[in-house]
Amino acid sequence: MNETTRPAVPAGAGGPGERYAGTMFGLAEQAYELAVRDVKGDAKRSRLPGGQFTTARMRASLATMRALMARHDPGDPVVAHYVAEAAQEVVSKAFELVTDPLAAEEMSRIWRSLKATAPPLSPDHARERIGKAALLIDPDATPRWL
Amino acid sequence: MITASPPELSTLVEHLVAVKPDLRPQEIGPRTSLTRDLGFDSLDLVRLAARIHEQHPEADLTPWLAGACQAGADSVGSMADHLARARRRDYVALARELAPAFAERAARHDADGGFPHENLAELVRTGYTAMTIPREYGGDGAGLGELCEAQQVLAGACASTAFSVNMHVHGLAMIAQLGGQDAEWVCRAVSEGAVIAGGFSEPGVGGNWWHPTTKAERVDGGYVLNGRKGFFTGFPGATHLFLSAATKDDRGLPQPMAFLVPKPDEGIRVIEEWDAAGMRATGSHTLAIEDFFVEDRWSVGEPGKLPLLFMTGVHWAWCSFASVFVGIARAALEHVTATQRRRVLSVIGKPNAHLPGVQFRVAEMATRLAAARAHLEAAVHADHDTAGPIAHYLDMSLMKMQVTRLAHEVVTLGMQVQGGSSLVSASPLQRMYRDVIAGLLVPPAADVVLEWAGKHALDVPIFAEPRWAE
Repeated sequence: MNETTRPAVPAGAGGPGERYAGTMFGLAEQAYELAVRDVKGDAKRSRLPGGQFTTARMRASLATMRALMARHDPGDPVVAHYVAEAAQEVVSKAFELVTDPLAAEEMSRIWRSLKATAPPLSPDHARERIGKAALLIDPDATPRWL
Repeated sequence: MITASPPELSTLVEHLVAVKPDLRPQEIGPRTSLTRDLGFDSLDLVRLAARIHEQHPEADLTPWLAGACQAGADSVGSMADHLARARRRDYVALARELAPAFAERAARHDADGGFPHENLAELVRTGYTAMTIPREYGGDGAGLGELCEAQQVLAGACASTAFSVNMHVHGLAMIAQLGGQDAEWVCRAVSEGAVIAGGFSEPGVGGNWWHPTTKAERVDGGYVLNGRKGFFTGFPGATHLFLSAATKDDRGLPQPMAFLVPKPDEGIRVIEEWDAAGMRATGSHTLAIEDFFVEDRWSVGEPGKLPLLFMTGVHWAWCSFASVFVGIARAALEHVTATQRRRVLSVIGKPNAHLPGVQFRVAEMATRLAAARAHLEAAVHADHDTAGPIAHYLDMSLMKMQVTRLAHEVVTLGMQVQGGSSLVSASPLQRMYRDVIAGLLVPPAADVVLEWAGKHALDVPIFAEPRWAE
């Protein structure tokens, strides 16, 4: 199987960050498939450049997420932080492509799941830990700031 | 992965027979086990290791033999691979050795826009330019992973040098994969110091490189080429030029072709010197090709097969391109974190690194860099052989698009972290900022990638006309 298309870490595997990233990725992938199916169902719409470009951007984004999950230390907060943001972008783009009412309803469910799934670290806390690690600052030192 | 070549295996068999004279060479193959099939005991193994060490002091076989025999993985082939690995040059280490001097000269070359001839001479002298010569042609056969890692190191020091030599190292790998006489003479020339610059871009063609407007007219004994080439990176340092042009087939339809020719004194001239905001020292001149006669022997591959040749070997091109821009982003993050740990504002009395805003932006840099590196690595290690050519081309192209976009974001964030001082000409970051933008602009053209990848995903024929619905 091709490295760039092999399945990402399944939701539920590994530590909290890995599980969270797996869940976010799974939702983004569902949204992508739903949108592609919806566009494909309309021969004319599938031949319009806007939908094609958006589809390609989602596809590229999923490939980056998949690679990061497969190749980076899963315990590093970088993974969940990146995948969460990229997954939101994919689902948001997918939402724009859907026209079928049932598909839109399903997309709403995906969006709600995405927003309702709590990350192991809040985005701000993740940024603090990732930034401090890169700057060689003890993340547990107090006071946290200056 | 390294695969020992047949001559290495036969040399190894000679060593085995010298240690155990009763062995029959014709019964020894790559899968033959030293202990189980050939009956080597511990004393034989010690003698074998000593004998090989005498001829190849760089290779200490003893630890490998102990581990391999214990694990039951002591085949003759795996021993030959181990020896080949021990003897070959480490190109990432070589890049690290060369990088400090390149970094020192980078600002000067950027300022005057001069081609870094001395850097290229170092790359030739040390064998860096020969890294992708396959083992069957006498080279070390550096793989795509090693090439990309080495190029990241060079790019962090001097992106212009890395991008110039990139045209050579990846072009060589693509030609070498053709095999046959083309590969043989090119590899021989490179091992003797030849340097290749490639020219597929043309004014007015955009990203549609498979439709060259340079014409190749069939004449007795070869072709006469006429046309224009843009962005001919590395031209000032090249000894050989890799050119595309189109001839006509029997039906009068254009047939894209490739030629690799020794750089001529006549027939090709610079009509516009490279003077750009970024990648200033790459010598990416614009050329006129005027009644340039090319003998048949300089054509590469079969006429009309250029697009397929490129698509099946595209991982060498797009992964190595991407690696240059990842290298810039890595260097930018290193520079920014080092500065922020050092820089102390009098009003706070502690290094800026302790400011939350600095930490947050550095976090975004580190996150995007990790994503870019992971995507590049995944592409490097993807299955390049069995995927269909279109799917393979698109996977690689999407990767290049994503990775260069992320690299650009990393450096842009770095500018914001550093503040106004990053804009002054003494700051290496402003050069990185101008260089990394080139990643968004070099092939493949993002809009073409998005069109093709979108159509592919939506089951729309890529080359159908009209291209889009009304």
